[in-house]
Amino acid sequence: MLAVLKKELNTYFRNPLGYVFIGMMMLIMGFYYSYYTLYYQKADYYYVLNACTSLILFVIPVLTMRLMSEERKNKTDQLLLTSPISTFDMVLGKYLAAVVLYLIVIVVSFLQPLTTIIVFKGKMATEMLIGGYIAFLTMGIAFIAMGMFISTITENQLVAAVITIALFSVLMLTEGLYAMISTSRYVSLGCLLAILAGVLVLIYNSIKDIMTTAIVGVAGLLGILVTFFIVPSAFDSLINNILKSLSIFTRYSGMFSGKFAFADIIFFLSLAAFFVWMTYQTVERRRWN
Amino acid sequence: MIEVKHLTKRYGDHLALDDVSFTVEDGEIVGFLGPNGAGKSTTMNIITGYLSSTDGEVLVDGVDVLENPIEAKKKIGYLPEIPPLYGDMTVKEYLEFACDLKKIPAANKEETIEQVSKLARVTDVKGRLIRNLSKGYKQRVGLAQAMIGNPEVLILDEPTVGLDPKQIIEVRDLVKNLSKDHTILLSSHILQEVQAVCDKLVIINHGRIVAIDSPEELSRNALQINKLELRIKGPKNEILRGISELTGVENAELLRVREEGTVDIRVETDETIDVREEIFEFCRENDFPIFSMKTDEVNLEDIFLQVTGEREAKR
Repeated sequence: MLAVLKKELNTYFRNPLGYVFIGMMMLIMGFYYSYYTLYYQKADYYYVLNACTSLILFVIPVLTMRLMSEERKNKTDQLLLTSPISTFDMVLGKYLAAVVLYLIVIVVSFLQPLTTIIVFKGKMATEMLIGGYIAFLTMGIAFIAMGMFISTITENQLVAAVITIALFSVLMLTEGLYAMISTSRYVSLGCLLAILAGVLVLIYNSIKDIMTTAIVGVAGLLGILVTFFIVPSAFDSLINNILKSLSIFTRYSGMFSGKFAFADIIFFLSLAAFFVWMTYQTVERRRWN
Repeated sequence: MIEVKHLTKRYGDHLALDDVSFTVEDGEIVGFLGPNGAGKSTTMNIITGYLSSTDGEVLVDGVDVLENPIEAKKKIGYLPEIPPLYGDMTVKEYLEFACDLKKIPAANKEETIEQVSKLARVTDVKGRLIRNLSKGYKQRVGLAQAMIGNPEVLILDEPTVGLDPKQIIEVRDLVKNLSKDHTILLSSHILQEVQAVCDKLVIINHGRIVAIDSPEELSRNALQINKLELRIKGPKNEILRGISELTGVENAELLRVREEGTVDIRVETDETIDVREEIFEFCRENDFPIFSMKTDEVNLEDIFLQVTGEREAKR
């Protein structure tokens, strides 16, 4: 794992990519720092962290786009996958390399609030600063995992970058969706049935067995309908709550309050773990096709 | 030792490998021969654990590649068809990375790199970026990578493709040298290339093994003494008439005239009869100097036709 980590870090600085990433991040953060702290005279650094989030989503693909795709294109994955290291170690090494670069940015950016405190004698809520940094870090590592996963499904790093940016944009745009959907229980019922149908299509596509699919379908349908007729109130604004709990940026902004947001940290960490695991599965699965 | 047992690989509906079985004994060099797309690379990718098989198993020194991949991979050095090189690294950096991957202790790294670079003759380009190397050097850097850690088994997928004749001879010698303490499986689509170094040939076509035999045996079977090409000095008609009258000669025809006063002719005979001595006697009696006489070049196609033909005849 360390071998891959070391190699990836070296590659970042052998190419312009590592410098481009750090440079762009510093530029964005520096811009908002001057904007909020120097121009608007607000000492609280979490304004800066919060404001640069949406722009950073466009920079993270720089970090992840070639992580997996380039190996496949150049057939160098043959070296990695035939070496005595496990596939998971390989994936983890690559992931951690990207995370290390992200950490470098975080550490360097810490100079900014430090300047505020020491040079300008500004006063800020330390809890909010720490909360802001935790949010910034955990959300970042979740997005890096998503970017790496997308880099696994294509051989072209530009395609990977474009899909990653598209996905992040969609996530950002659907953010307010839960507030727009009707809270009626029938809407929730309809959505659940649609999700069930989607799951059934996926199951049928992967195992091609009509019997199993039918059994799962009937069981799912009965489950949903029985629950609906026994405790209909459970369906009130169910979809809205599900969407809300999945919305990344709502959680992210929430973490700035200075409260230790344990659930949110776990949410981002599991999101990261899920996509690292998906990357591993995708690489493994390719061997079987 | 490599044991390949009943290997089958299916890509959707396409059957890439169909019940492939063979063994490579300790210290043996086995040539894996077949036209492009016959399944050579697929087999090698399965042996090295890059792909998995639909059915069947591979044992490397008794270790199952599928069940215990890390242990098995430790025993294998692999040079894939396209050497897995990072263009933005120097040769030294690349070999260092390969050492890290193969878990060579830091203390031995320098020595290992020194050793494999010497063997693969890449010492003089160690500081250069791989991107800027010629194809021959790239191939050799890939070979150096495969030799890191002195694995018992070496799997080389078309190691001489893209090399010039001098380099081909070098690689051939290197492989011969390595075979003293390595087990080697070497693929190629050119018979001459593997004939010279291998103890045994495994011939594969359309995902099936068509023959496993020693190169001597195979080329003896395929030796085409019934097809000769000669260049003889003397009058055209007399030579042609004389030769076609010899017993066993089925056909003698003029090919071309290259040198003044000589004729190039092609002679086909009955398969069971060797007429080379008779031709010599005929020419001596008539005082027609023979400038050259050679049997048709044995090539892979002939062997294929022959072994597949035999199979069909047996059915």
